[in-house]
Amino acid sequence: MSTLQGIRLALARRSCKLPAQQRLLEHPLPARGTRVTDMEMVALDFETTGLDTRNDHIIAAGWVLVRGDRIIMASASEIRVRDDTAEGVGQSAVIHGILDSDLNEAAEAEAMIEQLLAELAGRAIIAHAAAIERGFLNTLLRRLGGTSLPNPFIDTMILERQLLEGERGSGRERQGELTLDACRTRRGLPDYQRHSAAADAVAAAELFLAQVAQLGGAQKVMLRDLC
Amino acid sequence: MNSALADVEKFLAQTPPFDLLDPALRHRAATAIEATYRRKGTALLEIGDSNATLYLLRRGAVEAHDRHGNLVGRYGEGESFGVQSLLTGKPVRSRITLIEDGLIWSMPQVAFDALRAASSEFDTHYIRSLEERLIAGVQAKPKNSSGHELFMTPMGELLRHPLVVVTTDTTIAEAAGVMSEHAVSSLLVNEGDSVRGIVTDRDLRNRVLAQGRDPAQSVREIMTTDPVTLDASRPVLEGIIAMAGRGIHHLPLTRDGRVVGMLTTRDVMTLQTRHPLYLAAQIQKAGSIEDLASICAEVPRLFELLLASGMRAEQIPKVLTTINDAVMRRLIGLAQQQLGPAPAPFAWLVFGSQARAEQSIKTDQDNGLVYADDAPANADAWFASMARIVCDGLNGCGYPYCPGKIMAITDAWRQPLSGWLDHFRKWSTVPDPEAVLRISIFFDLRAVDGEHALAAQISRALGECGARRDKGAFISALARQAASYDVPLGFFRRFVVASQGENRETLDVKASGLLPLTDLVRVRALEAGITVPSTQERIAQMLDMNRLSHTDADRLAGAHILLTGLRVRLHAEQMRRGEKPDNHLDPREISHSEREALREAFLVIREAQQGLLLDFPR
Repeated sequence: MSTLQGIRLALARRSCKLPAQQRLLEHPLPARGTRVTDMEMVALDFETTGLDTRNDHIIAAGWVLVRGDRIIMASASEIRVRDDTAEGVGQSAVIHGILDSDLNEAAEAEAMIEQLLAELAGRAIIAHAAAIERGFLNTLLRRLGGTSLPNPFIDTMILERQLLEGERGSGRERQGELTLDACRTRRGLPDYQRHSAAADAVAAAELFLAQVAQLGGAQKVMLRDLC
Repeated sequence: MNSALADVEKFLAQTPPFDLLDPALRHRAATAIEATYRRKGTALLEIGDSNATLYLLRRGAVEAHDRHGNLVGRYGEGESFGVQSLLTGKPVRSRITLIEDGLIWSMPQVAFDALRAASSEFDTHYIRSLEERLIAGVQAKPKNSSGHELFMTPMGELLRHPLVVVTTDTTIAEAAGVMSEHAVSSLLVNEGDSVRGIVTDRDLRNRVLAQGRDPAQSVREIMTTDPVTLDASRPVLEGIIAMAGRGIHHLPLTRDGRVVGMLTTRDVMTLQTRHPLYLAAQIQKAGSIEDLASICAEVPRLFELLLASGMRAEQIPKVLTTINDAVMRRLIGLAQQQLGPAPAPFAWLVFGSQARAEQSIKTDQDNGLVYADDAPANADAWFASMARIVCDGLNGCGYPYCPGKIMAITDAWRQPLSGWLDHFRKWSTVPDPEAVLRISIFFDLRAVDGEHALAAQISRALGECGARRDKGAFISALARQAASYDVPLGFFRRFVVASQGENRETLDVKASGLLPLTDLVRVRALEAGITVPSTQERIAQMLDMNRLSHTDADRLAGAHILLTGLRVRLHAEQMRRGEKPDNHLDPREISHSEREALREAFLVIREAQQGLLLDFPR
């Protein structure tokens, strides 16, 4: 663990009032020189009611553990989240297929966070368009008395843009070439069940492994090459 | 919504043998999977590696190469590798290399073993012997349980006439007119879409004429209401019981609850007349070539019926050969009626697939004639006339002339015994595989009629040809010829992978399978001095003589059954579609288990070919 990360963890520990996160912060995080093959990561996906981290909220969280260059399917999890402070699912139900009635069986946001935090200890986070996951997670953590996550975030969308720009110039986002679907199709990855949070997390993890393979393989690629 | 592993489970559900697992076990399998991604060119397994992992390709493709660098297989999505080393615990035998970027699923041996312990179906997939796997390929399809009896044929197969329907407001007179117009003996009476009754020609007699009823009345007055119906998929036997028990002669058949046709006692009777035994008897009684030809017109239909009745596909060539033999004997009989008695003892010979009793539906003639050496001087003219009648007759009965003229009408193939013995003596020194190819057909030989003793002497000469290892030019030429066929490696996606690795659109079941197999069995049989023509019989005799191990005999026999059955089913399907039968099988039309079985059969043949090359070096 680098000094910088040590300081970051120490600061986070001091300001954190959320017991589940305090435990998480005991674990050292991977250093920037860690090779993928020696690293554990969690691919994460949130389904949300919208993109506004203050007014929208998480309705489902899916994740899967990536150990080195292997996706551990047994770890794939999906948790529905109920948020009594907000209105119903509204229009986004069209996209996610998750109806309010489904959410009756769902967990409190706090229970979801507790489970997720236990998975994140000492691990980097993989997400496609990671700003969403990062934003919603940090907002929720702060609301619950916690603090922003010190874990490194690997954004497969940004990685993809870098890999593509290496090939043929920039300006791809607008053309929709960087969606998870488009990235997977370009790499010949199979179809998946869209808008299930767990399936999206596995899909992002597979894309990540394909990107690492392109960058030279898990033995060679380090965390610093990825974020 | 589904579990977090819904995608993984869905793929497993479509992927043999994981499709055999129940949902709970499939979930367990899914949780045992780890996924990795590797670039094209990466070697996933090396020869000599110990392996405790089952690999399943989720995306991409791999090639397997043996230690000599020969391509031995190509696999795509949904196919496993590493299985052999996993099952045997022995080191990996082929190098597995990605030929496309791949997403690879792996499952540790512990989890694989646990699945096998928990599901007998899944386990059976892996423990079956090679021969069982080969035969399972053929038997997967016909699910008719008990058997061979024609009376197990689904009734729907017997429907002859289109269903003729009238409505309840039709008059008796109109109904009689409709019957006679369509040449049917019964009508279905409907009201709207629902069946109200049936009217038969018997009703017209018993309930109209005999009772002096007014034909202007509605058919409603004379119809039998609420007739007994049966599903068209039920066996004929059930129909016979239903009709006999009620003394009725017409049985409406349904599919999905809708009446699709009327089965009559006459239809059931014609079933009997299509039984091969009945057909053979009719052939024996035929008084003219025209009679024979019209009986033979029933043969393609018999072919379909035998399959539909649940006869195993690989048995059908025997039945077809029996019929062909019977037709031949009858033609010989008819020729003798016309020409008078033969001037000398003779035997009518058949060669190739007819001799082996491995005929398919469309077969050219391959025949010849041998007569006694002490025949009178002008005897050949008489035999030539007989051969002309028989060969022309066969052609008229649906067995076309041999394009290579291997027929008794050709002088070279109509010889006294000494002539045939000369042929074989000459052939036994032929050193050239090309020339061997032209004569190899004569090494499957059988007498269909006449003095079998004459044919037996030829067989003896034939047996001596092969046993001469000292002058072995002929037998090694035959061996090299048998080893030279291009036998595929297997299948890859929608293609057949030929032995040099190129992808082909279709599989030629004959050229890439049956031909090399029968040829190499023939070589081995000749080498052992075995002269019976049938491939299965040759294999059995070689086993008895300890020329083959049980394993090898089972494998060769299994491969032969598989290929024969597939070819029969292919021909039946082509005829059903109104196409001319050929041997080109589209890999997309065969099941996963057939693909696997075929891959094994190819392996068996290629290994036997390699064995030939080792035993008969140049």
